[in-house]
Amino acid sequence: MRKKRLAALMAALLAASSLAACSGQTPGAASAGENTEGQEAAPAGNVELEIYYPVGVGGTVSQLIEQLAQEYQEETEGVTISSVFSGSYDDTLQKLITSYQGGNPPQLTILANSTILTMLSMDMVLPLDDLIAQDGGSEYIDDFFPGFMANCVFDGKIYSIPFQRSTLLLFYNKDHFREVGLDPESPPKTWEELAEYGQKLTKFDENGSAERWGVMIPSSGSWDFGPYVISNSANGENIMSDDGKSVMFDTPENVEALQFLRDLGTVYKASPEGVIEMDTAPANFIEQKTSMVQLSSGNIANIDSSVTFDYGIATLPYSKRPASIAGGGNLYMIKGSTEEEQKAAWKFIRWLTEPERQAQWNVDTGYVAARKSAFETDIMEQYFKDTPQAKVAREQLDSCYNELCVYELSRINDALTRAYDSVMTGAAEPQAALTALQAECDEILAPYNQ
Amino acid sequence: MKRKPRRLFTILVAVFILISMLPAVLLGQTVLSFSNRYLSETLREEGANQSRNMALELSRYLREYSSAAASIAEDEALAAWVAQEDPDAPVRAICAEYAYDFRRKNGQELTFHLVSSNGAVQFSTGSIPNLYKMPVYQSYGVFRKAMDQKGETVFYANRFPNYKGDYTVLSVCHTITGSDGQVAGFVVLDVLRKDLQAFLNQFQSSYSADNLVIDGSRITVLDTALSSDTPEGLRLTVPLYTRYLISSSFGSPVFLEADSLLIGLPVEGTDLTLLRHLTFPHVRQLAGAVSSATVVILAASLLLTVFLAFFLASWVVRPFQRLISSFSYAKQGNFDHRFTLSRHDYREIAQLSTQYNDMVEKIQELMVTNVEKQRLLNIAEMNALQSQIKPHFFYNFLNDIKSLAKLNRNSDICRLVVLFGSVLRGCMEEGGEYTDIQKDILLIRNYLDMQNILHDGGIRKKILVDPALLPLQIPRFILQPLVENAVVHGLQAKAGGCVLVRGRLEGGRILFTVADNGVGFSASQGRSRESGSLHPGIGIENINRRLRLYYGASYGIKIESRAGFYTKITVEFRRMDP
Repeated sequence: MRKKRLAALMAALLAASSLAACSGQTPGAASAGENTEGQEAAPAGNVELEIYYPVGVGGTVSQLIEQLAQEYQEETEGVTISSVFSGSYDDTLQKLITSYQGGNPPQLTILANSTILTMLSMDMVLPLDDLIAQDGGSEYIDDFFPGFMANCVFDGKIYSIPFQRSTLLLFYNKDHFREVGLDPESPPKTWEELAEYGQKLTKFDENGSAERWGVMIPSSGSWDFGPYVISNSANGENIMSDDGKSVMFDTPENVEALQFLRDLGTVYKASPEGVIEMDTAPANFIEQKTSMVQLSSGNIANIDSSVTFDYGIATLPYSKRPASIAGGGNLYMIKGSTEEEQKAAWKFIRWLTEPERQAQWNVDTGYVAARKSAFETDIMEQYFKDTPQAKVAREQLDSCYNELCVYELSRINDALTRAYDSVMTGAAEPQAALTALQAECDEILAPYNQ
Repeated sequence: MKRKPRRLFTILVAVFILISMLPAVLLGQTVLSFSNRYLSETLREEGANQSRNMALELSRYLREYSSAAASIAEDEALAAWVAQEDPDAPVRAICAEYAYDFRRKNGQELTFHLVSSNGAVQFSTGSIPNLYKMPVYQSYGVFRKAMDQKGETVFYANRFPNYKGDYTVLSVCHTITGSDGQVAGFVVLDVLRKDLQAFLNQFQSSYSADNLVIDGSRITVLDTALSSDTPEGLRLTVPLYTRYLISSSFGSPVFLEADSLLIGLPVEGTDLTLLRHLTFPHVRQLAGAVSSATVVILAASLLLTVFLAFFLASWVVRPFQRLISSFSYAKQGNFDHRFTLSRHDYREIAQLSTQYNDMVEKIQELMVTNVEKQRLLNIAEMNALQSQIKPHFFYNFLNDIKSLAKLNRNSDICRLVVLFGSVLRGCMEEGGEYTDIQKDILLIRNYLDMQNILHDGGIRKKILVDPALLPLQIPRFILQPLVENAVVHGLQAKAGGCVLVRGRLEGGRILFTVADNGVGFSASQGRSRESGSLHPGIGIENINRRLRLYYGASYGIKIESRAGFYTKITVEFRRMDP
């Protein structure tokens, strides 16, 4: 009986204390969350690098970048890389400006090749010549395609390294070619052929509305217009000066080029009239609403896996000379880093741009490898076996030039888009539009020319 | 292996504790939750009010900046200068005046800058930060936002040190339009961290607060906690705050813990948001005190309850234990023990004890009855046997055998011997207390036949028994002794006697009469005969007692007699179907 009493007492005390515990508790104890910026605590003696990267073409790119960073860290001692996905090209630049002003910029970033001048004017980029001389030399730098390097060099200094690049190509529907009696292995080479084939390939239904267009060239003034400018210019000039301080919109050759592009719709009736959207162009081709389309090489993987017909890729049709332009992003190094960080960042850049790695990047993402030697690797050979159409991209790189790159790029772009749209919709005539555009842009760039 | 059932004691203890503690616990919980709720309501009120007030004040503070920006932007002379329409405008003087007005009104220095988009002209009360240099930055940051909202003041989080080393955390910007209606430039005002911090610090109270100001893109303008998870100048990523910002609770305080609140409010007139994390330490203490008190009381009452429960359970259980031990007497065969009620025992125990005592008594009775029955049966058996082999009777029997033998009446001898044998057998037979009436009648018949022979045909018999009775049972050694009695005493061996045995069924009763036309007895003799025995040794008394034992006190032998004429004995049995 005694024992039982004691046991009961103990139980009572236990019950009392548990009551205390449960009465002390109250609704929802939450704790503050953690920072998810991806900063890691690195061991001492470690160099920490940060790289901002945007997503241009395709969503899996972000995973690949993370993987590459991971791989590099595993291979290399003493360096930690945190890769920060920073949204679009534009967002990335904004974020960069903010962090640069705040005093904690990343050491590396990937940005559009044409952003270089904006970054120069904000004094954010490091010239790379010394680093190239120490590690890589001309053997390294000369291996990059000249078309890609053009927007990397200003004032005789190299400021960026090509990384995720692309070029414009003509995709065409071989089945449609056969259908209208065209040789599927002979895509149009000249502007005349483009117009002619385009006419043949266009189909109208009994109401007069188009079932299918012959060709669609998107109406992007800074991008899709570029090749036509360079192809037609008197001596191969681009649409802007080399120093990026002036634009040459108002030339007779440009008027001609612009006129031609509009005529495809209004005169040859091979294209829809008005503004042709860039975003819907790949879908239009896949759905066979157009037989030919001008698209970035970055669309090769998507087209290849989505089309239900026999397709081909061709270099762009030209007038005086073959020409296409190169888009995509480069690697930049940002000012404000220590020498140690700079050396480590440069090694990472070299690693990222090794020929095999560039070839693999090409296969994985659809971006075009930026180095000539990348196209001699086994990876690339295999890729061409699997996707023979991709060989044309390589061909195009031999006549590939830099895209529009000027100071005040966004404002120039805005003006150009407005002018281009007004011409395509018929609101203005090419000459008048280009003259007005030139005047506007001259004013925008005036401060840089004083 | 069967589990032993729990003791009543344990069950009672548990039940008592439960019954007593349940209300106490419920009460305790109710008190606690009410007090908690009251406290939390009060906190919410206080926290919300203070914060709303603070947001209001912050809005007023920032409105000073935005209205200053608007005034400066709309100043015609300044606009003309920025648009390069009037290069000789007295910019310095005009701006100084604005700065003076601001200082007079708000007690604070105003840092601001005027820039033209093309970078042609610029003015600053201090020195132009990099971020505002034209034309480079005109498409970025605060200027892009200002262009998107032309003609309105915009707020934009920045973070950069000015030439004095103070950090600017907020840029307040307004577009400046030239006479052609186009945007010619901007005015930007810098809100310094130290000024904003000082402003927020005014709002002190009994609680501690961490304040976080974010702009329209959720970039952190100012974080007074500074142990913070998102550094100033970067987009807020703390999941707790970001979830709250988009939840439906935004604008009202939510509890993070018992004594800490999170509240977010928009700052009117801007696209900024004020987030506050408030902690009320004194509340925690109070809540702690209340819950400790409750716990102590509960513990004390638990202890008390336990003691009482033991006591009460004991009180309930003890009489049962006494009862249980009583039963062990009975188990051991001691039926004399009776349970004695004590004064404290309750009614149920009294009932149980009465029933126990009655039961034990009944057992005793039954046992006694049984014992008695057995004893009397034994005696009857013995008597029956003995009477057959009583010397004088047996001597007569043997004598008769001798006589018959002399007369060579062998068949008679055989018959006599057989009858005697069957009578003896009938008496000695094993078979328990009861016998079939059929068997008993056969026994009587054999006996009477035997007697008849022994008395030279002087005893006649008449047996009239309802055939329906034959299979039924009656106790042994009832009828035969009566018949014997009739023969031996009634007829007293005089010739010409007759014994009549009658048996009939009347409902549930079996009635037998044994009558003889013998000597009978007179009334005076009769009285003793009714109650006593007619002849000691024959066992009428035995029969009587046995009948009473078997059937009850109302049963027994009924005797009728008339001296010299007849004797009639009636005996009643209860019908027992086999």
